[in-house]
Amino acid sequence: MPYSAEISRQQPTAILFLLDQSASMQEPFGGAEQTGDAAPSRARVLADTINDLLQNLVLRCAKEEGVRDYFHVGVIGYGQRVQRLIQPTDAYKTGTGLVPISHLADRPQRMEQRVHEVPDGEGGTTEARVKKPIWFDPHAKNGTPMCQALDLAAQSVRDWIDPHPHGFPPIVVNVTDGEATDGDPLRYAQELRSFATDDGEVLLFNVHLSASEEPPVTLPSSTTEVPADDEYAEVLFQMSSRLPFSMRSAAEQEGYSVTMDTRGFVFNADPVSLVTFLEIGTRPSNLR
Amino acid sequence: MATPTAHSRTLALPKAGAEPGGYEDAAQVRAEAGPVRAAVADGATESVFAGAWAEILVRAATEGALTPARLREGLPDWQRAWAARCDAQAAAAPWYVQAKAEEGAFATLLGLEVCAGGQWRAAVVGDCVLFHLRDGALRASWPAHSPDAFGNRPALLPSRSSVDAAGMTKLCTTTGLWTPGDVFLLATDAVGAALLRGAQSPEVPFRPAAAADWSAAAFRDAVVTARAEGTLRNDDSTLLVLDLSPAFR
Repeated sequence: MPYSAEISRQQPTAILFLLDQSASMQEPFGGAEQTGDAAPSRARVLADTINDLLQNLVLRCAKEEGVRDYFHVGVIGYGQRVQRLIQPTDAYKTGTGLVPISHLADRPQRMEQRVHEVPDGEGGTTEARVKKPIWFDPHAKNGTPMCQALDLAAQSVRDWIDPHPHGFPPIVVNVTDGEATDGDPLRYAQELRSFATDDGEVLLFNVHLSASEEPPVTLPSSTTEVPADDEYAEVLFQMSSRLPFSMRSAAEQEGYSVTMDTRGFVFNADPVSLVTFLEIGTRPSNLR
Repeated sequence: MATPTAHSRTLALPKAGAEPGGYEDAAQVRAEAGPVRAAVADGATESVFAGAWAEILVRAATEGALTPARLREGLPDWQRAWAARCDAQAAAAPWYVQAKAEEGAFATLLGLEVCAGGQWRAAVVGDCVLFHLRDGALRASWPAHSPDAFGNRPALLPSRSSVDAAGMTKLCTTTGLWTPGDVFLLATDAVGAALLRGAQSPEVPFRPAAAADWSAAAFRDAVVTARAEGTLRNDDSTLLVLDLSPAFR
């Protein structure tokens, strides 16, 4: 069965994030003004979400003796420039931009102190100070060179698969709020998804961040579920891979109804559906 | 009145590819005085100091019977024992070990008590499996009856009281009768699932009736073969064999 390879330190998988850093990301999420919130920009929410997600990925791999390298991780930002946002040290300059997660764990840009309310074990709560690693700050400038980003991602996963031909294939998660300004992204997405390990083709998931008040369309199984008058929604649907078995199970546990055709795609994502989807899309299978 | 006289052996093999110290199951037997007690626990891979938590739990489950009341009253002490053993190490470690230790460790636990008079009782949190054999044949497995019964989210016992102890509400208990010569097998989930699969196919070597006679070497060979065939998940593999010899023999 495809997408069933065990993920271990001997056989890691790769997770690559593509983050839209175009000027429109300075805007808040759709509907945020109406709620009266002092709404943070989409770029801020995305940076916070990715920092949280990377922290959770590190914690999933952390054992008392250190971080186990179940994942190799990369981040590509696209806006004013298309660039790799994780800069490996010389030891990991493999050219893929993907670094073992232990390397990421030991090198956040900075650590911040945050105060959290935690259960006190007696039915109440208490304040706890926790250290929060920060790898990225928000950026938002210029256009949306998504095609270039997908092309760079394709180079990364192709070069990464060479020495990792048997494992769970790389997962690429593209988070954007707008249309590509540098061509037809479907062609680049198909090229990216054509690379494969013995266990299956590269998975490409897409999250479209909401600029409207419409409710999110999460994990659609057919183009009829996305807005018919939005050509771009259909393009992103076509760009997105079907969810493999383990992620369908994770989605069902989160309460979503899924089929064999369910795509790894959210249209009009709000911050909550963004976080939920990333949690599902980065759970390839059990770690060993 | 039958008094249990037990011979036991613990068969264990870490997951393939594990580093030294990477084994996070635990097993313990108290057979020197009645009632005989045995326990196995499986520390969750995705938590830190999970092996230490599994060891604390099997010790606790062999010092006294694992009952709902004892779990409720004893768990805070067991959690304090884990914190005493792990908190200082975590404080000196990088941010991710500290954060993970704050979340606590998690483990499944199966406890068996064999009493004079012919009764046994068992309690489980999570997906460990108990097998009861008589005259070389499987009488019952518990709580799972099928290799398909294993999901990815078993009930777990948390080592932190701040974690909602939902696992406590999922303590399942059962009871039965034993006679001298009976054999009990206590297995962590991977071995339990493989034995249940083997119980459905008499020609499969990895089956409960064969397991009752395994030596450490035979167990190792069986596990390595079953992993290679894909019938045993690559996980820490633990089997505690409790052989209730005829009393006073």
